[in-house]
Amino acid sequence: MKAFGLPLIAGVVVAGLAPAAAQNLTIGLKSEATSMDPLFHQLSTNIQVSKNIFEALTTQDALQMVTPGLAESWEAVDDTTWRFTLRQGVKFHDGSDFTARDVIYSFCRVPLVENSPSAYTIFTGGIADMAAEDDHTLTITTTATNPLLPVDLWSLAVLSATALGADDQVTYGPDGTCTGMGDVPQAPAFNDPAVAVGTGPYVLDRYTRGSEVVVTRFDDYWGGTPQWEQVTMRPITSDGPRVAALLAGDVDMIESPPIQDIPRIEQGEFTIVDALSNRVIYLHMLQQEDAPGIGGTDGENPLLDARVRQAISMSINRQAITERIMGGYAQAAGELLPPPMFGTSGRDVEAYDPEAARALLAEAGYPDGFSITLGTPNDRYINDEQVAQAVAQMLAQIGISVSVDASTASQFFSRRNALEFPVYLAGWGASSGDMSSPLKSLVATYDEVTGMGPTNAGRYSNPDMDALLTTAMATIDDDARDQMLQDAQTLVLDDYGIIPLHYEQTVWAMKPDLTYEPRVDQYTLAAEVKPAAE
Amino acid sequence: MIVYLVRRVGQSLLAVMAMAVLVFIGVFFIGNPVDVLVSPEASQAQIAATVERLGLDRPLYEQFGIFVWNALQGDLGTSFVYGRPALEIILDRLPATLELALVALALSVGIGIPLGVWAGLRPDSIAGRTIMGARSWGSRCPISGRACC
Repeated sequence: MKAFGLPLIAGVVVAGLAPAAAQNLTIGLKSEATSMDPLFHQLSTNIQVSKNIFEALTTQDALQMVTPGLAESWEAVDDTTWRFTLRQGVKFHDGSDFTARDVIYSFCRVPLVENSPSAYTIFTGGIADMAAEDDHTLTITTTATNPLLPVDLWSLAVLSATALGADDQVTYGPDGTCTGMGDVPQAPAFNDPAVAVGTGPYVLDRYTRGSEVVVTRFDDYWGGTPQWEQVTMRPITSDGPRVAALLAGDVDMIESPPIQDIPRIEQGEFTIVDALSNRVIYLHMLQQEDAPGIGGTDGENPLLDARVRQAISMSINRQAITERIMGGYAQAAGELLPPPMFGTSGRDVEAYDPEAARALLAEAGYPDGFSITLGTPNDRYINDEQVAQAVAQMLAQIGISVSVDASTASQFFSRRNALEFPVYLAGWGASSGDMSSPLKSLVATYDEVTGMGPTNAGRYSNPDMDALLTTAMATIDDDARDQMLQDAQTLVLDDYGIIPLHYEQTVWAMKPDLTYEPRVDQYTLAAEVKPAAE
Repeated sequence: MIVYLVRRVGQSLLAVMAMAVLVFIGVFFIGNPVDVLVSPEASQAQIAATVERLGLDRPLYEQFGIFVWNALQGDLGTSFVYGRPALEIILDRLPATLELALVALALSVGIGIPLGVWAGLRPDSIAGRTIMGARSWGSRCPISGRACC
């Protein structure tokens, strides 16, 4: 029965937009924003919608390079103090002026957001103090040296303090101890456009959960007149109907068409744009004495031997995976982040050499191989389970008998975090756009006190790498930090602590009169969709 | 009549309880929601704080007890994903559900009852047998396949 309702609704929307088609844009997204509060849930589906309405002190361009946003410029005064010069003449959607007070209020509100499934406090936790020297000069003091502060600030949307009911004077205090906050509105209040007031190019018109988010042009936008009169972002979670909506003309653009459908979309004279993403797909191996799911080794964990890990890496034909399973929409990976991003060294992709791999296995004392379980999600990354199956077959060629254990993402991540897999396939997108992100999360020694290695479910541990990474993360000088991160990654990869497989490519499909500069962070930013040049 | 009503209401309550238990256990087996909800960049302490805030660190029976106790007072809890009361989210969808249910009801009453009366009046005629046959075919069809049956 339910199927009857959808085409009717879609028909009404299209009919309503038709007269001024060139001024309007409709995008089919693969998942739905859960809230219009930009500081509620740190989730890419929410971020890519809220970026149209709200801005931050800094922005990241399509290649994740940090560029000025609401802050015109900034400088590190000393290791823990930063001075930001804010842009003059910026208006909020309600006509009020943007000042330092709005920034302080917005950061102060972060720890006061209730029920957040993934809080933004990971970005504000390290801010010791904030002070406005005047309306457009702001100093931020951090508890520890943080060279990535300008990067982090991109995640913190600036809200209108006045629209949210703050006092005239807002004073910063860490961890929710600010004063002058008034009665802080919670996430559900942001469904109301009178509360969801930002400085971005588009104004929230309506958010209808399960159906659409509609934003309209903000005529007083500081960055010039925005392109579209009205933008509709519609979640179409199933791949098939999303592609069908594009082909039928119900939407002008979609994100993430399935690779299998791309030839069909291209035949329909639509434009496909794609780019390398910051997401690496990797194999991680459990490197502790006690490991489940391994057979034929008399209870020993062969993965503790770097030669075995190297053999696994050499037995994988990455070229075949990217060409045959990923349909060319992936690139074989030699690092944890695609070069030339910050902290990469341009290291070569591991050469496919099953002969040498077999020799290494024999040298390590496993001439007849062993058996092992490979965990993988089957609905999280592009063709994830097929990639895992291919890896299993390649490992079988050198005598390692692999059984693939595929499960849905929620179950996979829970089991992965409980160390149930001796080897697992997963992906990592570096939201900061630099090497410290994968190193810190995936291969730094797991430590609950320092917060290092939270996603290191291989429990790889290399004290030299830890030391180098910790120093790098406290080094403001970009060149020095770049070199340290390169060296730290080299230590891990030389040791085969983790095995990069490929970088995913992100794909968008759109009508031929549109163009979009593909982003490495995989975001679909409506404000960046432009008409194609004539 | 009263006995019948009491019995039916009792059965419905049992069914609701059984469903609640099944769904609760089902969700528990699918995996820890925090592993999917929380940002991958979060540290161990931040993950632990989220788990505690959502009450997921407590034993399952305790979580279930809290849910039932609140539900009896009309509070179905707060959605993890939307951060809003679950009841509100259900009510959001109510108009569409009612629309579908009413249209379905109108169709079944408007077409079903006249056809049933006709078949009942002439059970041995061709029309009567056709209607009876079509009815039993329709009711044996799985719900997911009804559109094509």
